[in-house]
Amino acid sequence: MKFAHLADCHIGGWREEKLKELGIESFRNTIDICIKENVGFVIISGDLFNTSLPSIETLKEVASILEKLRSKDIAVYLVPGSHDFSASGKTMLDVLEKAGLCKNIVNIEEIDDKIKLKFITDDKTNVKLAGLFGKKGGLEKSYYEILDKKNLEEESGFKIFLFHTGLTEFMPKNMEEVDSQPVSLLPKNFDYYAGGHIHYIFDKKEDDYGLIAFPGPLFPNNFKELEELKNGGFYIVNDKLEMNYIPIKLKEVISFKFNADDKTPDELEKEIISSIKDFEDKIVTLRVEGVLKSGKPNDVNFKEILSRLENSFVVLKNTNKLTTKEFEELEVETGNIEEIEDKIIKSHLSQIKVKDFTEDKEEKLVHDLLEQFGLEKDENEKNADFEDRLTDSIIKSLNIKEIWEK
Amino acid sequence: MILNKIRLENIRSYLNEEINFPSSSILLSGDIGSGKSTILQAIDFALFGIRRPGLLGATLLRNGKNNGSVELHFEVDDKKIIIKRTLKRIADTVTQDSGFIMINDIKKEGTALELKESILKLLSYPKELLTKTKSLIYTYTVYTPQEEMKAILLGDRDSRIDTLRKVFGIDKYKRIKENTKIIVTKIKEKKKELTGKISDLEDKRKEKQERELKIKELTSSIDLILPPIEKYKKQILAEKESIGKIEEEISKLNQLKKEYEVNKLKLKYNDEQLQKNNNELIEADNKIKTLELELKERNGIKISEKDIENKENQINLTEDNLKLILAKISEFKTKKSSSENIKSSLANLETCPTCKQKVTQEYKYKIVAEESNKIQGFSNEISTLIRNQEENERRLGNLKSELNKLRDLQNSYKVFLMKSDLLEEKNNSKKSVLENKAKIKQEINISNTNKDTLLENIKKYENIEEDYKKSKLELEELQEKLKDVEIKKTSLDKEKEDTEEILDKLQKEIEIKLSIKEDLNYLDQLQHWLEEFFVKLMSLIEKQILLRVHMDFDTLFQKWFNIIMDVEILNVKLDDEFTPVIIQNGHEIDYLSLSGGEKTSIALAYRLALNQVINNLITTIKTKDLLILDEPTDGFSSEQLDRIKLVLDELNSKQIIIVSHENKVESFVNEVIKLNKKEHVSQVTQ
Repeated sequence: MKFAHLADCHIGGWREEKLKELGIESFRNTIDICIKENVGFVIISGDLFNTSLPSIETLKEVASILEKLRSKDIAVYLVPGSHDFSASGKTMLDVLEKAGLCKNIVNIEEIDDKIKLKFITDDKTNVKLAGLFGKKGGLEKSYYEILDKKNLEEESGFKIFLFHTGLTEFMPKNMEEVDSQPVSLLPKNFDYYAGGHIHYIFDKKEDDYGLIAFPGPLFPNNFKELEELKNGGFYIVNDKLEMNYIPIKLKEVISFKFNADDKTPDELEKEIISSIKDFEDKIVTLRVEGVLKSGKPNDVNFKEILSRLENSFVVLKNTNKLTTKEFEELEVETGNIEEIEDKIIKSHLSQIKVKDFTEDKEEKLVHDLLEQFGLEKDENEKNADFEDRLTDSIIKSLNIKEIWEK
Repeated sequence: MILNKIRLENIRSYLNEEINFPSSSILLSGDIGSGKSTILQAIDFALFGIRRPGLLGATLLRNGKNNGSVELHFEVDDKKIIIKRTLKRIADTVTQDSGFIMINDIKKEGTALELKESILKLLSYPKELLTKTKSLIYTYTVYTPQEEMKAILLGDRDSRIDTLRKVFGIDKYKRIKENTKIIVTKIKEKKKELTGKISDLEDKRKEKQERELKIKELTSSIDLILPPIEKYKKQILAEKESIGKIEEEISKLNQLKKEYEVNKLKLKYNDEQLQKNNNELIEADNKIKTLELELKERNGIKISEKDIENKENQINLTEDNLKLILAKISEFKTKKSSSENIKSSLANLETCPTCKQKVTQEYKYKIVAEESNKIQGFSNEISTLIRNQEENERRLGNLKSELNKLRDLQNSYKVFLMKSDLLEEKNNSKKSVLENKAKIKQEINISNTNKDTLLENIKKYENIEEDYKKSKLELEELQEKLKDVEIKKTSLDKEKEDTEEILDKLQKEIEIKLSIKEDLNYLDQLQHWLEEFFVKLMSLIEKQILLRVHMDFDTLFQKWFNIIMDVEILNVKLDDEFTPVIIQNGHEIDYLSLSGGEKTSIALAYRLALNQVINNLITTIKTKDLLILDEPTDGFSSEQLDRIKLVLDELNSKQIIIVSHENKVESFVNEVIKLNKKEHVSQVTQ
């Protein structure tokens, strides 16, 4: 007996059509492998879909893939994840279940202020499955807290527990801030703990529990995952708890990362253009971060850079942490516009010597000029007339009328 | 600003409608096309008038109507304001007519522009918006029509940033920098002009030095000339003195000569007189002899005047007698003639002319007889008298002849006497001539003596003329020399004076040029200050304010987006040009790839953030209490609509007007104004 353990497919999650398609393709590929490997059943530990109400197109694709499994009489057991769970019950998973394409194994019985989970037994393999959904913000924790685990722990046979929750003890370092709960909240004595939600590949045999495994996403779900994981995959596990991680690699991912520190937009742009290569038909991630020494992030001509990457499969760009020294170095002033003006003027006086300038005089002049230089050409005014009007008023402000008339 | 009421007359689908606005959250509810947005447009129009391209008169005025108006009642601070604007159709065009604004019951009529000016003032909006066709602050804080929001989001970066810069008045700094460039150019031109004016300053200084040197030279030349002038002057003075003395001598000589001539003349005269005397003496002697002879011949009888007088008296007496006689003759002749007349007239007289009585013959005879007697008497008298007359006439002739003889004798005596006198006179004259002759002789003697003396003296001055001539010549020579040096001095003085004048002018010119040089330095400093300090300061302020706006805007944009969307998969931020950047799955995605609801959410978040940034940064504006949202939920799902409640709770506006056709929104607001359109006319139904 062997089964497939998938999680976090997030189908429909990519807005980019090609990647959305790759997501579906990865799922299709996985299911094809499952059929080929002749697995007894497939379990999905949450987040098959990216949302509880995916688009009809997505649903159609997934349904047709699941239909392949049904035609081979391979059951699909799943729990809703934080993305495809719906408190109101309005989720497409129900539609698929009603169509007999999958089975949501979350079966809750409320007894007083406790809940009990019921097992589902796979007819073909007699494997017993139970599980709990994931909710946004780790809200499933409250269910675990009132979970009566007794029946679960006491049940005999080969038992699998499906969950969509991070486990505090095993959280990877860069995800420590993600909601998680301790392993102790899980029921004990299961053979296999099929985890989802945390996008990493992990397995561990834990005393009193069993084999705890996270296969990670089937296809990287975001920019960072593309950069770090490059591709997704799933486990095929046998009844001896021997695991085989099957990577799903439909397209190669190439990640470019550039540091903008102390570069001008032009220098950065040149560096990027000269560095990008070997990207044909690959998924390209382009991350540019750092502090430009001058100019603005928008001065980097990304349009040009992206046009150079035309032959890639798809390009994803992230300039979230690209900023400029011009802004970095400035301490943001508080107050309204007049107060900001006033503060800056006051702190920059007496930098350039001009005969007879005192600080007060200079400050008054700057304010005066702020007003006078703000003059605008009237709608019907000729350029020359405007310049004369401007000159007259500035001459007055600068107090150089006498010089001007010499 | 809080809106109280609006009155629409012939505005789009409204005929005559009044809508009250409570001071809370209000929903303008109704089907699509029921006239909801018209109310917002009418508010905009009432405040700012028509504006292209968004708010045109032709689209506001109801079809088929020639006049329309909007009257808006609102409050700003404690002021109650009513503004009314009107539209009228002339031929094919619809124009704004004048309207009025009433502030606390004080009404003021005004043109569209004047009303706008009052409103901008009331709302404390920047004045420069007056001439702009858009009231940007109102548009981006109070009421943003959907198209305008999309235009700012979907428009190109440049026009977006341009609009935002205008809204926040940051374009002012760009303008200031541009205008500073103009002024710097003008200053450069001025400097060029002034530099041109002092380009010859060094030449002038050099020239000044040269002139100063020249003056020194001239002064020493003049100093050299002064002693000879003094010397010549002294010599001339001495020479003149000596000439004066010589002239005195000459004058003396002339006196002597004159005296000599006088003496000579006197001598001649005396000689002539002497000769004349001699002749006179001869003549006198002859005359005396003749006179003595004549006197001897002439009778020397003396006739007294008394004898002549007697004779004349006798003549007079006789003449008187004669006159009497002649008078008597005449008298008698008259009397005789009268009697003769009486006698002749009586003969024919019948009646008395006096008493008218008849004259008798007898009386006639008596009278004739009496008159005849009288005539006889008169004739006798006349004869006697004529004889007497003849006698006297004869006697008178004798007397006159005797008188004539006496008178001749008397005259002859008088001639005698005269000649005697003449003789005596002649004798006397002879005597005086003799005496005179002696005197003249004496004088001639004196004159002869004087003549010698004078000749002797004159001889003494024999060389004086030559001396005089010589001195004169010397003087002339000296004067000539003095004149020469003086001319030279005058010419030097003149040259010095001219040079000094030029130097003075140069000095003044140099002073002016130095002052211009100072001005140039000052302009240099100002230009440097403007370019290196002022412009950079403006850039810094601009950057700071832009940064501040960006930071606030970005924070608020994210805040509002998260309130409206509440999905983890989408994140937003503003890039440095205020473009919303949508991040999904960690990479940036295009706005256009978003769903309708997501797009609306972005637009609404952007709009609300912009509203808040403006209200925070431009503290003076008075429209912070009012917010108008026009169909803010386009494309929203039912769940998303629920989030509008959160938005309304989070918004801190006293008055919020929402236009929506979503019935769900009704439950989020305090008041609902339902609008309905029947037979092309919009009406408030509730």
